[in-house]
Amino acid sequence: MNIVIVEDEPLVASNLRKMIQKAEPEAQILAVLPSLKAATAWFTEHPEPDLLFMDIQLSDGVSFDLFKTISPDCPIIFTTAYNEYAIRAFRVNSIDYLLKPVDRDDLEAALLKFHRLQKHLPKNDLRTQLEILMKDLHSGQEKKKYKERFLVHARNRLVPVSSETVAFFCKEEIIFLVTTDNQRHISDFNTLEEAEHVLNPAEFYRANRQYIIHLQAVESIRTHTTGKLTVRLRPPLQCEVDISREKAHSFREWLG
Amino acid sequence: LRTERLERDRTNAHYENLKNQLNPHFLFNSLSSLDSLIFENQELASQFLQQLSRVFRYVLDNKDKELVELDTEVKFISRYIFLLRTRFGDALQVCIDLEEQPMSRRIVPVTLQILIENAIKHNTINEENQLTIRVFADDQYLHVRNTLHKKSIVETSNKLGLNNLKSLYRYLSPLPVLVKEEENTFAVSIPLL
Repeated sequence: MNIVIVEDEPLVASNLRKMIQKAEPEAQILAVLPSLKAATAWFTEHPEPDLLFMDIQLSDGVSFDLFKTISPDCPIIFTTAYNEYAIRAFRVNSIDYLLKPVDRDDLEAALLKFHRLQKHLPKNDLRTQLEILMKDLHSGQEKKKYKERFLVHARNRLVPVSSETVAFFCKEEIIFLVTTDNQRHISDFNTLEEAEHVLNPAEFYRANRQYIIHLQAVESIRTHTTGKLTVRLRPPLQCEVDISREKAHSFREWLG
Repeated sequence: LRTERLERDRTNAHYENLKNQLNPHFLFNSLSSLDSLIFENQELASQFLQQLSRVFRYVLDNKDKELVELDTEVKFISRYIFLLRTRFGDALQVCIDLEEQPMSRRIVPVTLQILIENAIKHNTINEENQLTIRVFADDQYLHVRNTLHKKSIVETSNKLGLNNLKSLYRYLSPLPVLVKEEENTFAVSIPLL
């Protein structure tokens, strides 16, 4: 059996190599590759091994990136130091993963699983599984949950405010949350960028350096000959928010 | 004034969290390396284990302090760097270039560790692309500058580390934390207190 290891930390790689040799004495370890780049190069020049051990976090990226350039058909045992996300993904797949420091028993179990799978599954089944896994990982990233309630400071207490009552966030010395009835609270955000990260872009729009406004707060927009826009907010809100010429188009698209 | 105080408490709380969770990646990766060292080089393994405990002890001992002398933080950071250098070898170069004078100034504990960890988290480290970090100071600032070769994906970044440091120092110093990204370098400057 031919094995390739992809692992960026030399000490960890040499230990894994020894452990594999012990558990699988007749196996040949063809290469220990320290980076995504080295792995890509190796796979374009060599036939695939029977089994690949691959660290998820590599020094130059995440090993899943390997499948963008080449797609190895061989079964893979992933290794990872700590990654709840990956662990969750692997649970729904039958391809194995090992937590570092790698436990000897776990390694043996993974190898056993590999031998079993090899007997019963044609190669492309593993490939399909891997595709499903990567899709899962991907959609996990896209299906981001947006924040729907925000904690604000009211006297000595923290009070939740639901996203439906938010008119806008605005940055002065700190980030304020202002509700549709014009109540001003100190938000729990450090920066507007941080807020932007967790807000649903369908509802909230980053108008300028100072404001993120909610769709429901917009009453009307006034256009200027310069291309700039001024947004009037629904009463009782009193302020107006400027949108630069550069952002005007994307703002109108967002508004509908 | 009241809002100011609330805000400050909040910033502090965020920072507490940051310090308390010395990155779990760091712990488990260090343990993996240790697993290997135990067979390859017992002497180094023992040294590695001791430095690892000291790093964690420093974080525990200092997490409640508002400020520490730069000297103390630098001693801690040398141990942290020893661990990293054992893991990454020559691909990681850290140069601490500090004279006596700034050593008695103060910083928020674990600041330096957070900055070095950031550099490691965001940059490629291998033989082709060495990561070089330089720590130096002038009258007002402690500078941490590193070569820039960004990883394509950083899985565990919540982008809060630097922002929290920035807001925390806003209450401690009239000078702002400075972040400067250029084509090949990334530098963060922390006001010395």
